[in-house]
Amino acid sequence: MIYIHAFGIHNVKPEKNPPDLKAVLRTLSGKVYRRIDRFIQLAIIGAHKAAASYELDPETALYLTSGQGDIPVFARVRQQRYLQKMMSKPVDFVNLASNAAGFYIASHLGLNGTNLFLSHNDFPVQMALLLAQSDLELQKQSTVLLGGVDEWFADQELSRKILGVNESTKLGEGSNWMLLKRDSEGAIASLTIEPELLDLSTLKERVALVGAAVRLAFSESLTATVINEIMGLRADHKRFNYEKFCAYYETLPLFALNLFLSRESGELLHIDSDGERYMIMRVGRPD
Amino acid sequence: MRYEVGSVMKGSQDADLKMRLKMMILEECEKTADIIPENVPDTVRLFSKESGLDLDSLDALSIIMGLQQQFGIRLPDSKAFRRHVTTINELADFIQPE
Repeated sequence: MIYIHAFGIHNVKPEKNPPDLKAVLRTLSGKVYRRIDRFIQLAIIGAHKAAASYELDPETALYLTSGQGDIPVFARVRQQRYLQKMMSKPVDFVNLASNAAGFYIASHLGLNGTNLFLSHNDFPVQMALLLAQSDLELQKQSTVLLGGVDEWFADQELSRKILGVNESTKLGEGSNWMLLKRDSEGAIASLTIEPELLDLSTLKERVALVGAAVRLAFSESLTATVINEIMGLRADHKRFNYEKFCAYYETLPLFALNLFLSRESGELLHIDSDGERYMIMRVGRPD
Repeated sequence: MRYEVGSVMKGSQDADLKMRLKMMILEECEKTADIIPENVPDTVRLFSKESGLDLDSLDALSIIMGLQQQFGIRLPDSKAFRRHVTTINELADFIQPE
């Protein structure tokens, strides 16, 4: 078990185009950043919200994950390089080819510790959190600032294709962060990431054993049938409906956990799926 | 939008061309929030402290891209860049000799 000491939410549910972030970033940080794209702006804003008021150890590790990464810049570079046969912008290339977002966050917050961009086809949030959990429990890190960033992309068709979601899915964007430690002193909540990939029957067994006070949250990838089956296991289970506050992006599980922390107390069990297997995360916030 | 060289006057005397160059440089180097085009000097070396632009090597690459895309000017190497991208007046004369 690890502990959440701070968290930050930046979540946008765009109707047409998402808002310009330059002004938001300038207001929040008081700085003007050059050479950063929207993905990096989102990353800095979320990390700032989570950690700026916290006295961070400069050796705090930074773990950043994303479902689709810096896809608008990738698409622009691809368009320029292969379709228009032009050189791509140097800044685009630099931002695309490295962990640029991590660099700018570290620079913004004054961090010198481990700085990782973690990518995983399924369960990107859970995999990043699992790494943080392991590193904290093994004392490889004392503090980890972990975030999930996904950017709304104007080419919705390509975005949906990459994400593997259907045409009716409304897409959003967000940058959601947690400051994690092994120590419980001063913590907001506890967090446990179950490392096993569960099949549906094992998942049901596990959920059936969960106490009545625990709220359940489900990721977008679970079908209504499966959700109904799980909610039907016990009549006293209640659902935490975070979905009405957001549109879809792949790092939504972090938003769900953070939203719970900002609005509720007690325990939350978050269930995610890759379509076949399931993963569980558990957050506990004292009353 | 690509700049069409149609004027007969020398670039350094063409206020419109020089304004376009200044705007291109500020846009490509993301300086529009800090500096207005009118404050970019005509006769001071762009990559000097005195210009107030605080440009570096990545800005140089961005300016090369801007010159190519907006003015159709190709600068093949750093030597050509150093020769022609000196001051606004000299750059304007290079684009529009007369």
